[in-house]
Amino acid sequence: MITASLIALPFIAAILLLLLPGNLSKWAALTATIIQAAFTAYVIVIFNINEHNSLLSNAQFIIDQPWISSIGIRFFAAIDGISMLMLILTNFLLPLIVLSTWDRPINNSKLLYFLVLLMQGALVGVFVSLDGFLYYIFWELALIPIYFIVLLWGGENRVKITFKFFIYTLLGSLFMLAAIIWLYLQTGDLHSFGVDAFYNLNLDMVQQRWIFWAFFLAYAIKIPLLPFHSWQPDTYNTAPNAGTMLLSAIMLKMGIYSVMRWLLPIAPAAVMAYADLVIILCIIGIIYASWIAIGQKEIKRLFAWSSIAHVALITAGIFTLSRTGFQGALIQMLSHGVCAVGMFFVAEIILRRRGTYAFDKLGGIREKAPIFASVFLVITFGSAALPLTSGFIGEFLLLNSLYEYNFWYATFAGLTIILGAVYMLRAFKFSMLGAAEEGSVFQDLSFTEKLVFFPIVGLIIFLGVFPQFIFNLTDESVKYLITEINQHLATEL
Amino acid sequence: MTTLIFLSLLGFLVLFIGAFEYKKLILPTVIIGLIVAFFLNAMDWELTATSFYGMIDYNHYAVSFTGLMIVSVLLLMLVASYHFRNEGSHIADIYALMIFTLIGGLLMTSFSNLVMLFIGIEILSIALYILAGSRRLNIASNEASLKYFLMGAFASGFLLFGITLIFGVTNSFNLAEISDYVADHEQLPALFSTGVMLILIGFAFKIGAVPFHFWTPDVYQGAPTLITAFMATVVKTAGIAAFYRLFDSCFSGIDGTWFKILWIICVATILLGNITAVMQNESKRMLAWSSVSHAGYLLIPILALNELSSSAIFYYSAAYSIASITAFAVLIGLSKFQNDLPLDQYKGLAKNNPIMTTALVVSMFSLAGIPPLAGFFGKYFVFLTAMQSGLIYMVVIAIIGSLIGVYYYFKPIIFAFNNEVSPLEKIETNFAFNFVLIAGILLSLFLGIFPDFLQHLPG
Repeated sequence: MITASLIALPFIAAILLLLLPGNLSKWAALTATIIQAAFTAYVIVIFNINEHNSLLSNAQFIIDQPWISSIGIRFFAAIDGISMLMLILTNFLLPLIVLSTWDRPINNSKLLYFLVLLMQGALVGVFVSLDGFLYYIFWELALIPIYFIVLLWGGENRVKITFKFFIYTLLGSLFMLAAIIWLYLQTGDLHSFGVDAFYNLNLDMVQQRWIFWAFFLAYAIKIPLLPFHSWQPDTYNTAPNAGTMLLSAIMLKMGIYSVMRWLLPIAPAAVMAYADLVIILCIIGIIYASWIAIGQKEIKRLFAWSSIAHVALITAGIFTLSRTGFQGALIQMLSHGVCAVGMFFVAEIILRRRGTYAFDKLGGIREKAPIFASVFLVITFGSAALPLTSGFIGEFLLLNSLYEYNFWYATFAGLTIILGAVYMLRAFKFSMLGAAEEGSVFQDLSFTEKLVFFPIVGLIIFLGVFPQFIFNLTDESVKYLITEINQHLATEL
Repeated sequence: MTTLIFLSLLGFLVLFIGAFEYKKLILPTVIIGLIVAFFLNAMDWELTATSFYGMIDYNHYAVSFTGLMIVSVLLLMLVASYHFRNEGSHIADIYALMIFTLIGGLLMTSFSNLVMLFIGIEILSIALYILAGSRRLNIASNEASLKYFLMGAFASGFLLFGITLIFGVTNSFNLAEISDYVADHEQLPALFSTGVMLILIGFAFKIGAVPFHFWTPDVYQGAPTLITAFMATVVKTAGIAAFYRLFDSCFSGIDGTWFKILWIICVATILLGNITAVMQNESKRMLAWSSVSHAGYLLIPILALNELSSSAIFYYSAAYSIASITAFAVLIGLSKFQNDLPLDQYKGLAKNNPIMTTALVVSMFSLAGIPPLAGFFGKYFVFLTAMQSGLIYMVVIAIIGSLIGVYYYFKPIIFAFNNEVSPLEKIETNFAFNFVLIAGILLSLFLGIFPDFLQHLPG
């Protein structure tokens, strides 16, 4: 029931919101997301990290109801450690994202909040579904609201850009659908889409290779990895900042999460075979994206490229198939989500006050708005992985896993520490430091803006100092994932 | 079998009401009549015996498809009350002809004798020739009617010739006997295969599959929009249902003779339909080409021919019909009696017309196959059926086709939300019209969330 309610709450809230008068909709959206966050907090408290059972080792709050019984599709969902982390990410960031739209007048805000809540429901659905088909439905469903958010409230050239984004991501997912159907047909007499049934398939190498590419294409486009990233910078840039936050903080994590849930244990041998290829792609992605980020002349584009670099490192860590890699990836996903919301809100505030993202028109903001500048500095540190911030622990673990995997990979991926610091500090320097223009004004943070930023700053520092909380939550699931993969590899060799 | 008799009487009744000019009575009569027909049809669910001396076998398959067609016609009639609101005199004729078409469709889904199949097709077609030309002062409508008549006549010729050849070989029109003949003979005479081929071509003409599709764009564009919707939904459903019924019951054992040809037709239909639709700038033409591509998807289960096929065809037809009717209804609301409607006339629709916009978005998403709408499950069942028979390449091609589809289905939506032009004013609609839009939205959602509801019906 708990899992089902977590999925249902945002959808119900979205429908209720449509019935309310338009001027109440932002309050309604905020209330709904806060209730959802509180509910998530309650679920964390009652989540038993030591539980052992047959489903994914510690999956809890299982709901398993027939949905389309004639073809074995079930409403099958549960929460394990990894799902729990993704729920924290989604449900705790959503109130902040809603709050970030507070001070700005929005056309037809009712529709915007409706779409945001729809998006939240779909994201939660993706993260808890254990039936392949259900998962696919939510995966696609998450695409529709964000498409409209960017199309309706986006900036320049949005029609073309959103279209490319939509087609690109749909391309990947349709092949994933074909793979899911194929897997379903392999599951013996009692066909099932259940994740457990998929894990128990012993596919041979040729089959695994096909499955790998069908899934990987979908995820590589979503994450996005080089060379499938070309939709991302434009989409991020043109999206309204709330949309960019949703995309970067949460939606791209769908891809990374799915690699861990749906790709690794189903086609482990193929993953092993292609691990080097993927990691090298990721490392090229890190260096390339960081390099381009350094050369950007607009703050939001810079953040967009930095996002590519960060997720590439996370993906590389996962493909080392090691415990440190998984743990690092998980905590880094959370950290990146928090920082991304912060970064794009910084961009939003700059846009609100100055009407531009271009560095050459910015500068000197620190003098006028010291609180804003300090907050941005913390976010910069978090993103550039300074010790005692959330970014550090994740990045350290990821690089460590790469080091254990191959020394040279770690060396090149390690450039991210330097390059990441360079572009983030450049962003800070060009926008905040320097002399302000004569007579320019820059109002410091308003109350609601502080309300968004302070939790973010708090989280960045909290996660940096006490990461153990997250490790406890996910450890059992990570161990299970490793044993599952090793078992498969052992039976095949 | 009461449905057939009831519908015939209803058709005549409507004609008489029209002749005596009781205009206010026409629409209620038609609506109530169709609702009654729907329930009569549903009551035949348990019927096991064949009717009319074995000419008709009204099994679950036939009942399901007839039910679907009645619902589609019902929705279209409601739209018709809006579409033809200023049409005056011959509205009763149009309603009556639509009911006669439905009778043809009913025979096409329930025949167990090739003669019945042919009679069904002719009843359906002849009524349609008139309907396509029902705007008789309009040149395009006349052209559509004539083209459709010529092409339909050719198709009927092919079909009839094929039936004759098969009769020549098997000495029977009865499906069961033909099927027995196929089972008994290892080596079938060339005449038989030729007959199958000719029937295949006849059907391909009727449903507008490539390369027998030339007539579709012109006819669809020229005919009154409502009749276009009618052809794209009810007529196509009937054609596919008949196609599958014949091939499943008679020719499944000899798929070697027709499989490759149908495979090529199928691929060509999906790809050409979708690619050409991308290039259209006129809404009706776009929907016409999109309907060509959907014919391709509907052919896949016939190609796969396994135990999932009939339900896949049924569900896909239902999802496609509902979405198409909704899309055409929006088009009718927008077009104000013009026959040509460039795509950019959708511009600025969203601001003042929330119901029409929602209907547009839902129907286009459903046609494009985006979850969780009905159209997605239609595609899913088709893919599942194809994979079950190992048609992996076909699935890949179908996936590419639906990706291309997304491109043009999104165009009207993007135009509708365009806020750079001055928004369209609120469009005057009536209750029946809004009812169809809302019913279309809810049905597309409902069938998407509970696909079980329909999927197992034809059995």
